[in-house]
Amino acid sequence: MNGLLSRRSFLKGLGVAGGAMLMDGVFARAVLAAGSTPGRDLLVTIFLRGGMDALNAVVPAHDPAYYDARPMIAVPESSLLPLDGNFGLHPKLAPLHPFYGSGRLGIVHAVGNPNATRSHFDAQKSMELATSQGTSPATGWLDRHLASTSTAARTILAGVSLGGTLPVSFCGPTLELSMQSLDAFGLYAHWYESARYQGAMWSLYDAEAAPLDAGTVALGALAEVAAAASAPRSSVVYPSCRLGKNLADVARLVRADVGLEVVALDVDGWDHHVEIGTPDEGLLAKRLDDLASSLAAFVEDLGAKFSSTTIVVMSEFGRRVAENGSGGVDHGHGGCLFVLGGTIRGGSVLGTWPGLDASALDHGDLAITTDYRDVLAEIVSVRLGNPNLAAVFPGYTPKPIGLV
Amino acid sequence: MAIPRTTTTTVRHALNRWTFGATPALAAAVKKSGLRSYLDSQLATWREADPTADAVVAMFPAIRMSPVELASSYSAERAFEVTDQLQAATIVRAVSATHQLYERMVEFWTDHFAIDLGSDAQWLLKPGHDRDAIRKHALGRFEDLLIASSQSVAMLHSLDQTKSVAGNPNENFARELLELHTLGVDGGYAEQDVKEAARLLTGWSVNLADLGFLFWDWVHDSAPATILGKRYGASGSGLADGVQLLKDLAHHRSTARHLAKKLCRRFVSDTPSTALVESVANAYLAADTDIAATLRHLFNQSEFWKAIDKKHRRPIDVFVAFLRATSSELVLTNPDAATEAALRRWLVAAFEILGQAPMRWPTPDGYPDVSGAWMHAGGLLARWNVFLSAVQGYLWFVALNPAAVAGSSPPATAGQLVDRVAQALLSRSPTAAERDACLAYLGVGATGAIDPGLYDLRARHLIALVGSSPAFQRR
Repeated sequence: MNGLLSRRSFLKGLGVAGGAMLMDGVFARAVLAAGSTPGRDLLVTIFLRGGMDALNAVVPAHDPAYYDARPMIAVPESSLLPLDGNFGLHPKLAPLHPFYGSGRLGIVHAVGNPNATRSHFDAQKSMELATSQGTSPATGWLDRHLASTSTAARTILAGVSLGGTLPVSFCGPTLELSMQSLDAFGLYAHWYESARYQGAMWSLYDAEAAPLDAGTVALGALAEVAAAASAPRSSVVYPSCRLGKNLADVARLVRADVGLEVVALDVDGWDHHVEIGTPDEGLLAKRLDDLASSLAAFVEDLGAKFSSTTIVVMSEFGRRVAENGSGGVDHGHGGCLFVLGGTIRGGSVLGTWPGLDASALDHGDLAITTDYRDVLAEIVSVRLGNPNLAAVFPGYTPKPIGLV
Repeated sequence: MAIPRTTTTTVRHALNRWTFGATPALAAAVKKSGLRSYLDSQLATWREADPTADAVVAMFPAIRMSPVELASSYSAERAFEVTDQLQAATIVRAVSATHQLYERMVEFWTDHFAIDLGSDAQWLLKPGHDRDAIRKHALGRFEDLLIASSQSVAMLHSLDQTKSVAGNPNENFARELLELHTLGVDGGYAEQDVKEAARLLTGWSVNLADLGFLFWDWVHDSAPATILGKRYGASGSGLADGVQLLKDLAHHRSTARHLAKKLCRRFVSDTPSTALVESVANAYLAADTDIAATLRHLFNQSEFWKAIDKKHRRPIDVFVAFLRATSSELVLTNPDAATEAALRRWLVAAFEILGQAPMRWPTPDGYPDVSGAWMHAGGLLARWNVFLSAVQGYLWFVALNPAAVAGSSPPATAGQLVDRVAQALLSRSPTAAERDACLAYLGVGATGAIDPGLYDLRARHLIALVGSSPAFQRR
């Protein structure tokens, strides 16, 4: 088997696309050095872009300072879904509540990226690169995980993102694929010309180095995805939001057994500076409703495969404790993470609650008492079977939290 | 440092960078007039009427309307009729304008001062920002552009500035002003500067009667503000102090560097040298923030002329360049109004599929400008499919005639056809590898003939094939 792994260079802006691994045959399969670790979960990361308001999503009802600071926008205690006697769940997250009860949903609060920036772009980038300030491989943590693990059977669809551009967490030398949707993934040449046309495309892209080696990734994936897309669909009904559509596609890829290992999804629209809304309606309520119902449908769709799936929902930061003058909240610091999985130790709200008294806050924001990398590292080592945490989170020594 | 001799190679590179793509006619014209003369005219005439674009753009009435006119001519439920017009007009200008470098800079500033056209109320507001801020000052002085953009209700509303009041300032606009519009994230400001700027800019708001800019004195925090070590409004601040802040920011060295870096990234390569960026920053400051002069300096640097094919085409670049190279026409008029609206919608939808609908990046930093953000498998597949759809006539808003590319009488041999298509799209002859791949698609050798019954099908697919090739993704 001939293989040529070309290193991508990360450009100091946003993500980069794949290095070339070209094999014979129509299906290009990437083969990396030996060292296999079988039986790992599918990891689905969902990045909520904009800074989800964790204090209204998972409410610290036991902390009176919460209600003092948010006279207009706090979620009333009577509306909350009970969690552990201290925290309550926003009512629109109701579809997720049963998973908490059955131990499949774990929550970590006052967690986040210790990098103090309140800038979206910096905070997202820093969180997805997951390197300590000062250390500098400019690669994303998901790419480093894929690069530090290998199986002989790794396919071109090991890392997939759904959406327009490749996420920063995929930056690096490993191949990942991005697509808008499963069904749209094909080449529209006239049927009479199609075979010769595709052959010519292979020839044109064959010798390309980064970044246009993404061409061979696309061509190789076409056949794989066509097979997955033509399989019969399930009858599970998803909400009509983008996340619902994306998760429905992920479930189809899972059923088609294409070698999916890591999926990266985004949801936009969490930057609620103004008019965050009431618990029943408004900007945050709609987003939480879409999130929870999409996840619940996805779990149903996975069926037995849920026991070997772990879903992490994260955001670049939480929002300020005090509401602002526009019925919203500005950028904050500490937030919360959701972990949903068939085989995790959920059913509790983990983390050390620092409190919302003025003296406990970080520049007016919820402080961070758990580094988000602790959560991710535990998932990577326990659920993904990758012991090489120094490679995935360089310059950081993670502490266990007991979530998985 | 100077503009080099006018050759096929330098003209090819200049048109790749200064325009949305070469057309056979434009390439011939520039070869004849010379590069320096072409650049001079592009930088001198940008404020004048555009002979080719203006007539075409007249078919989009919404883009000339004020917010009040838009509100009375359209409704919120039909807001897409306004946004489709604005987005279609942007594409039409990119394809057909004579003032190409001006349109390039309109695109640059649209990204720099990004406002998501799809977000709240922007169908009423963004047309004004496009027309009265960006298009008015795109090759003028950055200071004027910054003030116009910052006083545009579209910008103030998109960054929540209209709700920022004394005692409860909203930091969003002040933060993006420093981080994105001027100094840059490493520009040497602190959180305290953001907070103080937010205070100083309270009151920058909207006149609800006409949705124009209004300074609301009574919600302005007039306590003096200290930003980057300078005190504003020592005896109580007002509107003028906020404007002075913008002027100071426009002339700040960090702003010069930030803008220079972005300009070099747009026009030279994804990784311009520090020396080049510094040189452009100096030119910007020496020219009192004049953008045309800054560009003239940049285009006289040898690093610019050595960066041939070093940039990759973003989706708007690649599709517009394809339309220009193939002399395709955009079909956007129809006697039936509903059909006309549908043509516009499909045009915009094509760019949505490509991943770069005009003015639809969701965050204020604008569409990214480095290869890695665009050169991924899904993005390439989208382009390949848009070209295949265009050549097979599935895109009703595109009229593509293979004769405009390959000649009105089919060439005698396959080799000649390949050469003509490459010349039109790549502005050069094909490489040996490119020629081999194209001939393999055609299924004949270089001297072979193409079956007349299959010629149209094959010529069209060949055009799509060359447009999909790695070479056409570069500029």
